[in-house]
Amino acid sequence: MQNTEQYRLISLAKNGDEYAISCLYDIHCQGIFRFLYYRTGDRYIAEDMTSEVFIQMFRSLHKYNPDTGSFTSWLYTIARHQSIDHYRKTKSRPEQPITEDLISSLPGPETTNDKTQLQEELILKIKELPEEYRELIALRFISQLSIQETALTLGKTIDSVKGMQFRALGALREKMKLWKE
Amino acid sequence: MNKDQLLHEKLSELESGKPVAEILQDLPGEMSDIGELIMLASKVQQNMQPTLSHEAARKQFEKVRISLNTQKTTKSQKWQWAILSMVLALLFIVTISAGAFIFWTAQPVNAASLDNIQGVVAVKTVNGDWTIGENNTRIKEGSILRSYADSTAEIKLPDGSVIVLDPDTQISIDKLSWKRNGTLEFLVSTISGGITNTVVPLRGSISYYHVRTPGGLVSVHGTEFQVYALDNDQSIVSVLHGNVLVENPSGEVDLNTGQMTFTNTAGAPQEPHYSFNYTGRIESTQEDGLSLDGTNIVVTDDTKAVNQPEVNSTVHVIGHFDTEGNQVADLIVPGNAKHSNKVFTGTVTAISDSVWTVGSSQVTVLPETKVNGKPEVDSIVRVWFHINEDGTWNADKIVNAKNEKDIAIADSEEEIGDDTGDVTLTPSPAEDSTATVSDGTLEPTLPVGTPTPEGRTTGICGSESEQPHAVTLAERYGTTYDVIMGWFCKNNGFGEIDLAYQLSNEFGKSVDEIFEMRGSGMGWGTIRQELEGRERPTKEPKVERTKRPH
Repeated sequence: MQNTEQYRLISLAKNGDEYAISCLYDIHCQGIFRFLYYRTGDRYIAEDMTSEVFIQMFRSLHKYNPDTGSFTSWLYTIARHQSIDHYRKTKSRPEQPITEDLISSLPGPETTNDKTQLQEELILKIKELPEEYRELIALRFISQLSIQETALTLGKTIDSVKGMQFRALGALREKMKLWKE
Repeated sequence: MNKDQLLHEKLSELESGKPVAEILQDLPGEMSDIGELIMLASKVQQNMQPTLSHEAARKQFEKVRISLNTQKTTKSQKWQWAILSMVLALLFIVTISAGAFIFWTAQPVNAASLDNIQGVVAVKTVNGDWTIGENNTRIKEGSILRSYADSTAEIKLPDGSVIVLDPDTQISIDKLSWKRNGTLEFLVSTISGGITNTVVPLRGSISYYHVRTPGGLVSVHGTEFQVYALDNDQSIVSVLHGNVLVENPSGEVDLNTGQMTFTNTAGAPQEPHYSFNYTGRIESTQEDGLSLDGTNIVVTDDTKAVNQPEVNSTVHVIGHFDTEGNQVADLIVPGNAKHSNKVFTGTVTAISDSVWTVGSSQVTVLPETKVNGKPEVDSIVRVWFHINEDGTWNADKIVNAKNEKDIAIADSEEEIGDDTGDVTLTPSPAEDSTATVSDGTLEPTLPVGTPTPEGRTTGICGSESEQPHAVTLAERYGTTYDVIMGWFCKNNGFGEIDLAYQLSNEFGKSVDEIFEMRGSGMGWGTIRQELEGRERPTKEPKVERTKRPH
């Protein structure tokens, strides 16, 4: 979506236009859900948190200034804070066995055993990564934010994010190598 | 190019849809590890995309929608609450302010002040200490004041009423309470000497202004009068303007303008009789009288004198005319030479071209004599006069005692030089302004610049019958019927005349000037605007007062 169209929707949403809000929801709900899913490891919690992110977005929309950054990164910042709050409340990282739940939610359950195995392994190995790498992989490759949007969401520079994604993928590669061996 | 940047560029190509195989082909051989990372990223992107089902997405959006509507309602309620809170806060402030105002107005002011002190006036405070009074000295309930010989002072009450202490006078303030809502409770006792009271009309049913004298109690409601406490519990009450009730346990009498009475504890107050009030220099004394500024005054055994009258001393004499027309002194007290004044009250018995007979006295009416209230034969009038070298009297002012407003207005003109010439009957020497008599009825000369009835051609101007509107306006503005009709016959409507007087009173301009502005083509709105552009005169409490008789 072009920025101008999104800004028009944002402007309408600020005035309480329900249709504009539903459009913004449709555009971003899947990405937000995926990000939260990988952050919480629980589908239902992620679903509930997705709606909470949009409720918070609507409440805070009057504070959003397009000059300070993209709407997407602003929205993911809300989601990120929601997930941090969630961790703070549960006082622990998600310990539930996410693998089965997550795998079952991945597309293509009818695919081959190899693919299913790969998905399981990726989930497990990503879970083993340090927090900041997991967050980056969730934003950059699962929610598929651009490098700029990722940098804004994380509050880092673009170069810093470039280095971080190199290291995060490298760390995941090492984990996967161990698995293959 | 470093590996971070290279990886970023290749990932960007991947995101733009370029096949992984092509991306890997373009990689330099030594960067094969980058290729692995790209493949890994591709696998994550392709295989790690859990989706929110349509049903779940709608369910979650429903939550968003409900919250949205709740928030809208909450916002609206917030406004309502904000407005309600502001209204309540405003009501609270108004209530508190009103309460404070009511509390403030209910707080009595219990002090008067001394002013215009001449000579020495001592004040005994509630503590019992005597101090020398100064201007602005606070006089409270329970205070006693004493003026010494040749000394006078004014006591200004918080409601605007004024008491003038005569020389050698002692009074006590027995009650003094004034509230800002206008309620006055005042009781002064004359122990000795005399006081002149100028009383602002009282407000409220519980207000009172009482003067306790040795011979009785004087109650007033907006008037000016003198009270002299004599020996043997006797008092003289003389009314300069208005009405007072003099009462003691044996009876009561009503005094009107120009009347006086004696009162003592032995019986009811004497029947009132018309009085004269003279202040002047004693030229000579005889066994049975004295000559005051050239006029002879009879002194009898009943005449009360504070001091033995001496030649060349200034005295104030209150007295009456006997049946033979002699002026008999009832009271002689020290007077103030600065306030030389002569006034008497009587019935007009005859009016000729220039000489009026009032009671048994004849006064010459000159062009400059002010005549108010259309007095005629049998009218009771007050006459201010001066004595000529040949002993004849020239009237300075003659006021019909029936018309209280005329008296007040005429007096205030004399006191403060009021510029409202339109309400006075001041003949101009340049015109034939002598009061004339026709069938016994005085036709007062109209003031300079005052319109005359010739202007209007309607029958009303030539009519003998009185116009009710003119009578009402004359009464309302304290002027004469003729003056009002004069304006009317100059082609001014009664409504316009009413408006002109209102503006005159409001802005301190004479009615002549108001009508001049009107005559210049200005509309009434423009006139008001122009007048509002001027600085308004400071309004003082409206006190109907006359000049002190001495």
